[in-house]
Amino acid sequence: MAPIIILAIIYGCSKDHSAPTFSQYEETSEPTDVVAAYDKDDDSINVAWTMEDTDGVENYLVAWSDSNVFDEGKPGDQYVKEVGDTELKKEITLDATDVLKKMDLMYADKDSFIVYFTVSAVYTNVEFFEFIGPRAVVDRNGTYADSALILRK
Amino acid sequence: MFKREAMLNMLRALLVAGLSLLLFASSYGVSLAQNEEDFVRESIISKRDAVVLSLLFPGLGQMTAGQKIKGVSLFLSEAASLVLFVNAHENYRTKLTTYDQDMEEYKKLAKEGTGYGRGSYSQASLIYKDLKDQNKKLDDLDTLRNAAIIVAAGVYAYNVIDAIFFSSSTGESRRADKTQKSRVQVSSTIVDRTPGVLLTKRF
Repeated sequence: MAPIIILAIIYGCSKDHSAPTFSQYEETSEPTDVVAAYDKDDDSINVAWTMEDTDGVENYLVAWSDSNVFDEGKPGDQYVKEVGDTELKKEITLDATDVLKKMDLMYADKDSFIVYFTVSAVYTNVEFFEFIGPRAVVDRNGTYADSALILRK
Repeated sequence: MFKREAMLNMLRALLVAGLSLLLFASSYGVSLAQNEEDFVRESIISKRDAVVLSLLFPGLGQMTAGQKIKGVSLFLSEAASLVLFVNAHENYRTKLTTYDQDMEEYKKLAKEGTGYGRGSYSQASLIYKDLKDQNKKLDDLDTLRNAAIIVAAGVYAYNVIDAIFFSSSTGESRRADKTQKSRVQVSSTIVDRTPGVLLTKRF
């Protein structure tokens, strides 16, 4: 019996796991001052933002939702820099119809929509490859302050 | 890496098989001892035999030496803590496999993304939260199995000390007294060509 207990203590009690760390992802940051505005004449939405530290940022991802609790709504997104672009812009003009299409929202009987926007930096460096960083303007409840009111009629 | 895993699996199988064998042997021994008592056939057990039985499994020595309550308590305590240990340990190993796989995915997220596309901060946050929960459960299981094996080792140590220094002297003398006073001998006999059992008691 004694050898069994000793074996159990030696083999059975070795802790083989370590706690996870989040420090790697904390190095990424989010854009600030996101502003979304609807232009009724062009039926387009202009989204602009600022980002101070652009080290490792190779692109931006603009995402939208029909819910102010972002992940609970119907989502849509678009990268800012497309193939062939050399400059990394900090604004984008989106076609309002496309924005609604991507959310599967094409209600003919609705004359207005509120769409919530956020922007994330896309990182590529030693540690990351096309990694989508944290979303801008998010509070603890996952709600977004920047929205555009789309008036169709 | 593979060899180490195979070695650990072999050790684990040996441990489980050893514990199962011991539990089986001990329970068989106890039932045998009880059967013997049913026949009112007492046997004198030496201190050395009691110690050897106690070394084999806690409580066996005490039970056969006449200290039934103490023996059964020790036996059940040891069996329960060993079962708890094996259970917690197996749970730990199973959850650890899942945890390691998730951890591997989490580490890959920054460079390779997931099967569904590029990795993102929100995915990393969710996986990190899940990993923290899993890590807490693993910590709890590790604590539980450590506690169980410490209790098992403690019960075993107490049982051995008890068998060597305390148990056998009182138990043996009590048994010896009892044997002197009420020893019943069982033997077979044939009366008028009919087989039978002869019980003899000395007063």
